[in-house]
Amino acid sequence: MIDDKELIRKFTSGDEKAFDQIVQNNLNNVFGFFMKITRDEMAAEDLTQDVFLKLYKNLKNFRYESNFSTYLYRINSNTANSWITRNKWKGMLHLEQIAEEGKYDQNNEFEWTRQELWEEIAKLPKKQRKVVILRVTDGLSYRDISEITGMSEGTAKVNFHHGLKRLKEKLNND
Amino acid sequence: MTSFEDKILASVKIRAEGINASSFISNLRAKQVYESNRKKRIRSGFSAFAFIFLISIITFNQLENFDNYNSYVPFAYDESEVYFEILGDELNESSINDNDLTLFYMEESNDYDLEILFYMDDYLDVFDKNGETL
Repeated sequence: MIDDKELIRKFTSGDEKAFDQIVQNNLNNVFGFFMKITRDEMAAEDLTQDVFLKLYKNLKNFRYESNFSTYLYRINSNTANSWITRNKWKGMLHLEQIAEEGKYDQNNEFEWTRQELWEEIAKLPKKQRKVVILRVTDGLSYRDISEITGMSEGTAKVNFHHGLKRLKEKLNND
Repeated sequence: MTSFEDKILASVKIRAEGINASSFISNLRAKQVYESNRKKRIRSGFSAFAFIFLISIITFNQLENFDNYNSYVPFAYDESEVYFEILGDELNESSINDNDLTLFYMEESNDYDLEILFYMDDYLDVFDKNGETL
């Protein structure tokens, strides 16, 4: 399999097929990321499309010194963040209703529902929300999170713990 | 805290089925075309609006100055001089006699009254009979 950076080089020199290969290499990761957040295949696919459209537009600005996965996570994180913010104000985080019963909804053993969890995540301050999303959805290390978000490792850790503390208070008190 | 974190991680986990790459890529291409067409439409709409706006401004400006365009301002002359020459003023007599004055009025008026023309024709005949000319 050709390396993503090599594919980017090909794409920036005019090879459109190279972009399709980049999509194929990263599609399941991006789709999985959004599935964890949205629990809705249609919404996850739409967001995945948005990510690859942004990637298509901005790939020529890619700096080869950073990891492509980090770059892609940054786009994922920003897209997820805007989706959550947009839907928070629209009041459309009906995750439980969207999820098909038995397929994705296997959290009956927890004190909270997924809808409650994501509604509380949506209420977190932006920095905390970003860190929590990246940590919770893909279990990224603080080092990776710091690279993606541009904050220091310590700040990422502090933001995550503050976010988690707030979630614990909200979800356990309900 | 750790157990709570583990709980959250566990609650978020799903077994997502993969997505068909080829159909996704074709959908992505379609969306790209749609987006680029949308951008083109917005751009051409904006250009059309700018063009109409420009034309409106020019038309409005022309309408506002309509009287000026139609008053032959560039060819205007000092009428007081002419009227002084023809009519004179309180102190000075005009150098033009009545006949000249009548002709002057006729030339100045755009619509010639047929009756006046007949009258003037007779009038000129009389002058001719007397051996005088205008």
